[in-house]
Amino acid sequence: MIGRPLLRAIVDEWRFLAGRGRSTLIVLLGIPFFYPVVIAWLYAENQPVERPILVVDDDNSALSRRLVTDLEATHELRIVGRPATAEEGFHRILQGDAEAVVWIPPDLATDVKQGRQGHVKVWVNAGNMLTYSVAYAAISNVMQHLTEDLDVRYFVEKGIPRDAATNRVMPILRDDRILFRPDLSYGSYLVPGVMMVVLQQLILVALAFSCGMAREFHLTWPGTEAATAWGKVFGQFPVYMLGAAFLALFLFPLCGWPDARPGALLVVMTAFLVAMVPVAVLVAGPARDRYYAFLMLMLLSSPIFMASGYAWPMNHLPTYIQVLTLAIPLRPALSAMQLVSVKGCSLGEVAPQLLHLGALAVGWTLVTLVFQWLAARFRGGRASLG
Amino acid sequence: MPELAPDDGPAKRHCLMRDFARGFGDQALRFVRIPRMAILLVMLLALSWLGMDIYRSLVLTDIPVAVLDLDNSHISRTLREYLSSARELRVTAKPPQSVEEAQGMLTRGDVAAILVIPDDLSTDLKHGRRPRVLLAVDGSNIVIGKNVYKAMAKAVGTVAAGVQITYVTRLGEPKDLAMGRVVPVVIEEQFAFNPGTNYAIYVGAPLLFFLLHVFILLCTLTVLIPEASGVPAPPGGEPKASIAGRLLMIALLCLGLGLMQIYAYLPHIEVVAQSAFPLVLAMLAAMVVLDMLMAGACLMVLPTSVSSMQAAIVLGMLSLMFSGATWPTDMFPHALQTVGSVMPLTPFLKASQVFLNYPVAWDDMSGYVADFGRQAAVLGGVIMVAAPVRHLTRGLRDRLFRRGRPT
Repeated sequence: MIGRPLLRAIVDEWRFLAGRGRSTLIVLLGIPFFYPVVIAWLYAENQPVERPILVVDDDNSALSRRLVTDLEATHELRIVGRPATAEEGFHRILQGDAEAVVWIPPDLATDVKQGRQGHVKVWVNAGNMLTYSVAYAAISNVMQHLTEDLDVRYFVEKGIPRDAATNRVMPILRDDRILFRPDLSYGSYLVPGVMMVVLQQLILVALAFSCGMAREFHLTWPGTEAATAWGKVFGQFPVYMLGAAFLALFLFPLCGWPDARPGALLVVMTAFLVAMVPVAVLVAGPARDRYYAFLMLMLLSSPIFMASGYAWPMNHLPTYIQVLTLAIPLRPALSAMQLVSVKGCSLGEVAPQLLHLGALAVGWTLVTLVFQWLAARFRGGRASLG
Repeated sequence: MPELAPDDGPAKRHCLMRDFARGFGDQALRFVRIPRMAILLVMLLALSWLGMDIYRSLVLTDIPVAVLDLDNSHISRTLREYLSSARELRVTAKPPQSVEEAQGMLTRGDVAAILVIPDDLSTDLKHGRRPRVLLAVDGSNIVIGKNVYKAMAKAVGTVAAGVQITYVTRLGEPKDLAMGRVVPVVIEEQFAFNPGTNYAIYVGAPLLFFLLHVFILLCTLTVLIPEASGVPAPPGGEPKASIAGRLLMIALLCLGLGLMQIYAYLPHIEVVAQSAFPLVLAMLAAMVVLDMLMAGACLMVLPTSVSSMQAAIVLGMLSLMFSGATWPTDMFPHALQTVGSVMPLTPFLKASQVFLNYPVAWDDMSGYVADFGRQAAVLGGVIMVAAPVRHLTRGLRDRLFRRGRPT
């Protein structure tokens, strides 16, 4: 009963894409193929290095010169200038020329020799947490190493053999094991999440664009909008899948993003797309022209991503956002993606997330069908009144 | 509109003013009467609020971590106490009983990190050997991973420094000088623009301004592409004065919305503008005008109105990433650095980080103003060059099209 009209609608969509609706193909292919490549290119470096800093050395002693040399030798830092004063250095931070200023006071070496603490002042631009965490951590590490060397020298002066002296400095050693993402790199963390948002925008924008275009050019007629929208989304589904396969099987490995289980990742992406189908049909309902897709859907992507629990831990979000995002397929999809691609979990281990996506697919389908039925009744009522 | 003679100056001016005022008023009404425009406005306000609420907690606190203490000595208990007192960490009440159990907790995501204290920690310390503690951190979410790692490393470092101070005092160093011997050089840090190192300041403000930036592009395009607004254009096109009125209306609205974001929304996440109001207003106005120029440039460069909108939106959506807010611009490939430098959001976000969080003077903003000026020159130049070319190609296309049609 439903199969034949739906099949016809699917075939109609293919004809539409090959004919008058060719511009929909730009959206359908542009979003999954152009956008991810640009983002991958943008984050090709993966980890920020050589953060620009300034050094004001008012001590000019052997110790301060060593400190400057150590700062310069660090991969994370690049000394871009030596302003005459700390104020001048801070002004250059305001101008965006540097991210930190290290000021070495005039009496540093003297203080250290006399057993007093020397105070090195550091101004860091903490407005950008990413660059701050790189620059400040690197400066801290350099200072730590300098301190440890001075400590060893002190113990040696006290008559303790060098080996024993080394053991007495920072006497508890740490064996650090960063699991699942050893380099804690920002690019390989953020970008895979953004790719899932790209898939979300692909299905939402492409379907709304296609439905809007069909209405704009009177290629659909009253009473068939609902069937047309379902037909269009299933007609376009192979292209969505092509986009997902391109991401999971080609771009992820090519860019070195975590892809412990590419096949499982593709399954997760497919489940996500299936859950998004009724949402896309619902959203495309009011589209009257091609512009609707851009006007209504562009503002949504970033806030939904932020609220998904990927960029900021879910338990730190307000309760109402935690509840609302349960209805958004992006939340379980991102969670499942993290587990399979980063932690290497099997599909069985992400069953709760897949079930969540399945429940959302069923739930949103019911909501969409009810909405379409109500819309049809409303239109029918208006027609009979007319 | 009646035809006017060339010397009919005052009447012509009156007509222009009337069209301008009509365009201005009608555009204002569109945000109430036209559903898609009203929804767009409501979405901007609602999503901006949502963005603020997401980062309301400002910093990460109470991230669960576990300690497997195989030593259970005075020093290991001190270490546990230091970990418990860090605001970022919450040590689980029920500690794991074995390394395997701890590993399972970490893999399942029950805890974000584990510290394994070996059974010979205190003995090794007493004998002058360097014991090793194992710190395993779940790096799958780097926001959590980095915060946990930093907090736990700091706790271990503090306890180690304490042990060293004890040893130094045993060597006969007076207590007041012991600290100077153990930590001879200290950092006095000043976290400019974000003293509390809050994520809200890092992400909240850029997200808001990004939403405003996309809103400006979309609204401008609905004026420049009349059919995009959902209202059919009048036959023969809309008078230019009326279009100018609409654009002014959008500029003023966006300026008002930007001020609302800065003075009403951002204080919600404890970001209170530190610079003078005129400076903030000028910076915001520069972004609004440049965004409108960017929309105009996209329209002029591309052949069809739909492709113009597509291009403007693609650039608009990428602009947050191109701006350097999420990834430093000097890490971009050179070609993308050039693209990013033309986008109005780039200098505005960099400038906003400064003028929102530090009381700056006009002189301090000179670099950003120069960036705005360069962008205005580039975008204005593109419009000036592309407009006649577009007019010419359209004329040519129309002529060819007419020639092909049967008469």
